[in-house]
Parts: sequence; structure tokens; C-alpha cells
Amino acid sequence: MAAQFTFDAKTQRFRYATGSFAGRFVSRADVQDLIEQRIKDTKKDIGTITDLLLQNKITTATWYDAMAEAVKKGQTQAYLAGKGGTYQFKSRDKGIIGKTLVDEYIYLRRFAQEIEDGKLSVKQIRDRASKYGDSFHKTYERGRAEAHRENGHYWERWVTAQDEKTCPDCVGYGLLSWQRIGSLPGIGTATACKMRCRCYKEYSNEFNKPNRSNFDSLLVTKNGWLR
Amino acid sequence: MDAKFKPETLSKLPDAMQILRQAQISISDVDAAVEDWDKTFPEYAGLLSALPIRESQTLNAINGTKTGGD
Repeated sequence: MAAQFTFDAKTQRFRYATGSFAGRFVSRADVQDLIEQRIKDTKKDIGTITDLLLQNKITTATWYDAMAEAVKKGQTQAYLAGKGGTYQFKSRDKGIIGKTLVDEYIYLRRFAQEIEDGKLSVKQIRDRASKYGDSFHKTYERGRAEAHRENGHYWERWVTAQDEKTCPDCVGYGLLSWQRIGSLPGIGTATACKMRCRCYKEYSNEFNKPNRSNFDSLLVTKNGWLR
Repeated sequence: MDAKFKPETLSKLPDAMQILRQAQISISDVDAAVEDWDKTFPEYAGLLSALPIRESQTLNAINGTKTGGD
């Protein structure tokens, strides 16, 4: 039987409700890994759809529709995973995803037109198509940001991914430490690494600016060790 | 330089209004996304449709108390 989950708005974490893990939190890293898997799956689907187009088995319009559908599904899932599921999903959230999709669809429409006009080589089409899906992490982080803001968190801190994609902009934001929520740009929106960014934000519901070392930051309610 | 790809059959691409309509999120879009998630990640099925936790359950979880029914 599939595990059922609950979402704890106070700690902004999912928890297992049944099964052998009942009561345990699902870590942010685990959810982020699922989004990464979703990105990989979507890229695979997009590769298959694009192959059909390049073999002239489908038209550009059909390719566009299939791409748009894959992107919509992935973006919606990523946002919901960040927001805490469907019960927290409000009209404002529909608007946020809608705006994200409009931006993506405009780029996709332009891309499709260039294909239709015969302006791109097979390699260019494959390369460009393979970038769709990268923005799911950005959307996941946007969902987290919205959920934390709605649930009484006042501070945010940029945590760099510490991988090869981390750019100087991310390092710079990371050095700013705790800032008022909404002061730092959204993940993947204002850094040189753009959609490839895998940094994330930590949030605090403390009234005053958090001032803690890495060790102290372990002893917070979200880890379940302190109330 | 690579040869350009030109589709054999030309088709009509969506206009601005169609793009705006396509980008709207409906309840069925959300349901479809949740259903797809549950199929893709069976071990995390139900994550996107998680129910809110009650305050008492939070405190019990933090204190390590087993949470029972009402």
C-alpha cells in the first residue's frame, strides 16, 4: 500500500502518515531529489517527442502541444511539491504557475516557429529542446518561498548547492546570510547559472534576525529536536 | 555548417490568445499532475495531495510521542 502523507505548515515539511516511517519527516533534500528525477524524466520524454518531429512523424504543432503539456505537468508538480500539496494551493498559486507557463510557452512558440521556418539544424533543435525542464527546480523553490511567507516566516538565507553549477552570483547571495524574506532574488532568476541553479533557501520564523552558527542551526524546530 | 531541418508538413502554431488559454491552470490540470506524480513515484504517492497536520500531532512528533487517533 502506498504511503500517505501529511504536511506540517509549522515546520513546512511533509511527514509520513502511515507505514513503517509513520511520523517521520520527509527531508527537503528527498523532495528536491524527486524534482530532479522529474526533470530527467521530462527531458527523456521531450527527447522522444523531438525525435518524432525530426523523423517527420508529427507536425510542429503536435510537437508544440506535447512539449507544452510535458512542461505544464512538470511545473505544476514542482510547485505543488514546494508549496506543500494541493490543500495549500490557492488562486494566487494558479496565477504564479500560469505566469511561468506563459513565459515558457512564448519561448516554445518562438522555437517552434524557427523550426517551421527551417532556421535550425537537427543539432540545434535537440540542444534547445533538451533545456526544457531545467526550470522545475526554480518553480519548486518558488513554491517553497510562497509557502514559508504565508506561514509566518520572516527570514531567508541563500544556501549554495556547492556543486559545479554554483556561480559567483550564488556565492555572493550566500554570503549575505539571513535577510528579510523576499529580499533575496528567487532561486534561478537573477544569477548567471539561471535555470541550472540548484541552490535553495532556508527560512526562519524567528521574530529577530537569526544569528546562529552552522552548529546552532541544527538545533531548530524544523529538525524536530527542539520545540 | 549543419543542414537546416525543415518539416515536410507545415502546421498552424497557436496564437497569443491560445497560448494564454493553454497556460491557465484548471482543477483538472492539478488533478492530472497529482495523478501522474503518484504513478511516477509510487513510493511517494499521495505526497502532493497530503492533508494538513493537526497542531497536536506536530507537538507529539517533536516530543517523540506516538500519535494515535482521536
